[in-house]
This record gives sequence, C-alpha cells and structure tokens, in this order.
Amino acid sequence: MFEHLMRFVEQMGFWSIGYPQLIMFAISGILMYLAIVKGFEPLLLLPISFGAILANLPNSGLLVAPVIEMINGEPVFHEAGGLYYWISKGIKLEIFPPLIFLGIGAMTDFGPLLSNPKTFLLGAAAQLGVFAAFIFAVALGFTFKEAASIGIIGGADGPTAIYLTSKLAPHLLGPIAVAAYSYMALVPLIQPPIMKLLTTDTERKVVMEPPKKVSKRVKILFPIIVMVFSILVVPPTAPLIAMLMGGNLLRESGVVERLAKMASNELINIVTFFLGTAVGITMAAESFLRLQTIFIIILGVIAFGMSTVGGVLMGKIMYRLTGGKVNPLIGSAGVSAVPMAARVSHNVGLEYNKHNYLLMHAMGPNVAGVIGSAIAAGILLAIFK
Amino acid sequence: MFWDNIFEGLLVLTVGMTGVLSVLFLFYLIIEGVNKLEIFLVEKQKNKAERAKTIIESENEDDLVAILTAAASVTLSSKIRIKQIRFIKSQPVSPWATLGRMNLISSHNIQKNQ
Repeated sequence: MFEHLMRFVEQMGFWSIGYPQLIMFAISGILMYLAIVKGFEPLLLLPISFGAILANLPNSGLLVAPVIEMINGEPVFHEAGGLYYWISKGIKLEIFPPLIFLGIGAMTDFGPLLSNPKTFLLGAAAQLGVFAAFIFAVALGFTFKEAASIGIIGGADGPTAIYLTSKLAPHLLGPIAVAAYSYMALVPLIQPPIMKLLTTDTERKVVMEPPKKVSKRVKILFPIIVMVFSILVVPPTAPLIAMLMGGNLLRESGVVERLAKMASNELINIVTFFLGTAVGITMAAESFLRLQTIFIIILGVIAFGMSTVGGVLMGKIMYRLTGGKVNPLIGSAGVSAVPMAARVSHNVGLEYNKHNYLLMHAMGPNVAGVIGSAIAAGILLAIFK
Repeated sequence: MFWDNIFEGLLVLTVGMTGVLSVLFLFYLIIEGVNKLEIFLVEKQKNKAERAKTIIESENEDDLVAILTAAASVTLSSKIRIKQIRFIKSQPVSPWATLGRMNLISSHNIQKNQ
C-alpha cells in the first residue's frame, strides 16, 4: 500500500519543476495576456502560449517517441507515443503551413493587386528585411541555415517562417514563431515611425486613382499563372505557392463554394490550432531560455524594420517614376501581415489627408508580400537546403 | 572568418533580392499583359454585339415578323396571331427551358383563336 502511494507521489510532476519552467510559465502567461487582453494575433499566440505551458509540464509524455518493433516485417507498437509527438509531425512533414496557405488563398482577394500589378514590386522590395536580417544574424554568429530562418521573420508571414525554420533550423522553431507572430501584431507600432521618417508631407498626401475593376477571367487565370511560373523559377517554393494559389482558385472559380468555405473556415481553423500548439510545445525551457532567443527577438525587429524601409523606398521610386501618382505609404504594406499592414498604410495616410482612402491600394502590395515572402523562402531553401 | 561570412551574407542579399524582384517583376509583366488582352477581348466582344445590333435594326421588320410567324405557326401546328416579338439574350438554352417556353406560349391566347 505504502509502496503504491510512494510510486504515485514520485511520478508527480511537481518534483521536476525548477526555475526554468517557472520562467517559461511566466513567458507563456505574458503571451496569453497579449493574445486575450490586448488581442495581439490571438489565433496563433493563444495556441502557442498554451502549447508552451504544456511543453514545460514535466513527465507529461506528450512528446515521447513511440516504441516500435518490426516483427516479421510488420511494425508492432509497444508504446504508441505522445499525442504531440504525432501532431508535431504536421510541421516536420511540411503539412500544416501549406494547409494554412490553402486557407489563406481561399480567403484572399487578389483583385487590388491585379488592378494595379505595379504593386508587385512593392511586395518584392519589402523582402529586404529578410536578407538584411540574414547578414546581421550571420554577424552575430548564427549559422547560415539559422540566419536564413531568422531573416524570414522579416517576411511577416507566420506559416512561411514556420515552414522555412522547420526545414533549416527546427531547433529555433519556438523563438522564431513567437517573434514572427508577436511582431506581426506589433506592426501598428513598428511601421508608422519608419514610414513618417522616410516620406515627405507631399508624398503622404497623394490621393491615388480608384482601382480598376478586374474581370473574373483574369482572377481565375492569376493563380494558375503564379503557381506555374513560381514553381518553374523557384521549385522549393512549390508546397506554399501551390496551396496558396489552389485555395485562391477554389475561391475565384465560383463553382466549388463548399470547398472554398471548407478551406477558409473549418480546415484553416483546425490546422491553426494544431500548428500553434505544435509550435508552442517546442518551447521547452532548455531550448528556449538561451541567449540565442534574445538575439532572435532583436533580429526580428531589425527584419521587420528593414522590410518596411524596403517597401517605402520602392514606393518613393514609384512615386517619382509615375509623376506623383503612387502614395509611397502603401509600400510599407508590402510586408505580408495581411491585412494589418494595409490598415497601417491607410491610417497613416488618413492622418495627413482625411479624405485619402488608401486601404484598397495598400491591399495590392500586401497580398504581393505574401507571394514575395514565399518566393524569398523558396530562394533561401534553394541556396541552403 | 567573420568578414567572409559577412561577404557571403551580402551575396545572399544580392541574389535573394534580385531573385524576388525578378520573379515578381515577371508576374507584373504577365498580369499587365493579361489585363491588356482582357481589355482587347472585351472591346472585341462589345464591337461584335454592337455590329449584331445594327444588323438586326437594319433588317426589314415586316419580313422578320413574317418569318417568325411562319416558324411559330409550323412549330405549334396551329393558326396563331403574333402580338409581340422581343429578343431574348442569346445564351445557350437547355432543352427543358425551350420545352417550358413552348408550353407557356401554347397555353396562352392560341387556343382561343383556333
């Protein structure tokens, strides 16, 4: 009887909790607070913080690998393995981020980009932060693969960051995902000072022509064209671009409304929870509480800032080339963070001209940024994988 | 070693940014081309529709009425009186819709005039 009681008490997790776990609980609490009270990217930060708490509860066995023995060529399971050992396979086997992209594609209207295709260039220029942060990370002593994973934070695209990191530096998945989603939520604080610093009063007041109407035929052709050319030019980008454009084709074809709704509602909701918690569960104290994490957080801000600089500078070039027809403020929306970055461009524009509605114009570079960050990730994979 | 890494980083920056800009510039050119083609096709369709409208308007109206009356009379195998003719937008019509329309026509004044 006493022996059973002792065994029961001994297996309790309390005895394995130390300061590192308590610090991680505090960090998870802060993330949860930001998600619930401040509303910062709650769809991802809440599952991530939940997963982080789980990761630091000792003896839970959630990540324990299965024990399999091959008997007569047949696998026999002696231990089934922890729940999150299997759910994490969704990241390791590159399943969750592309599925999220399928949902994003089904939710995204590329109309503003198609009506003003010049804004593709803003989405491209706003990837500057990805490669600039890469150099800073290398300078701080990160390996090239780690630096590439850190740099992609500048793409401001969570699924892309997770996808690339899981392939190049899976041990950094937790800090990079947290940095990416935290900074995406902080776009309204990070971007406006840079935008105001780089533009003149006259530039900020530019009222752009209303966007042209885009035909259904062009909207249907667009995902096919982008998918084919992206995969031909940068093959490693295939899983992300194929799913993004596949989702968009479901939406724009107009004949599979049920599938489009499934991708943009049920599927993306389910995958978001599993992706978030699977990322969170990588945040065990021993892998998260390192100097590297602080560097990643700092490099994340640099990446975001430089991406904003790249977008706004390209906006200024377009302002000059078009004789003042493009408002450079929409350049900052070239970082993905849909639709937050576009809203920031719109709000900063409104501060200087109360009748200047930049939202639809900013949505063009914003969705171009989604494609741009996937292409940037593909290029980094092509170089370093 | 440090400067080698920085130099490598600068190379990645150059290759990466050139790559992203080139791919998205390619998309810009393609979409611009597709948009131009779309405008051309819409204009062509509009011109075609306008030409068809002109042809119909320029037809001898009495002849057209006579042809349509004869065709309707043969189709319905009875004596009929045409009260109104209007153009239905030319779209592919299913056989069920055609049959329904014919039933509707034959259920009106046609019986009374026989």
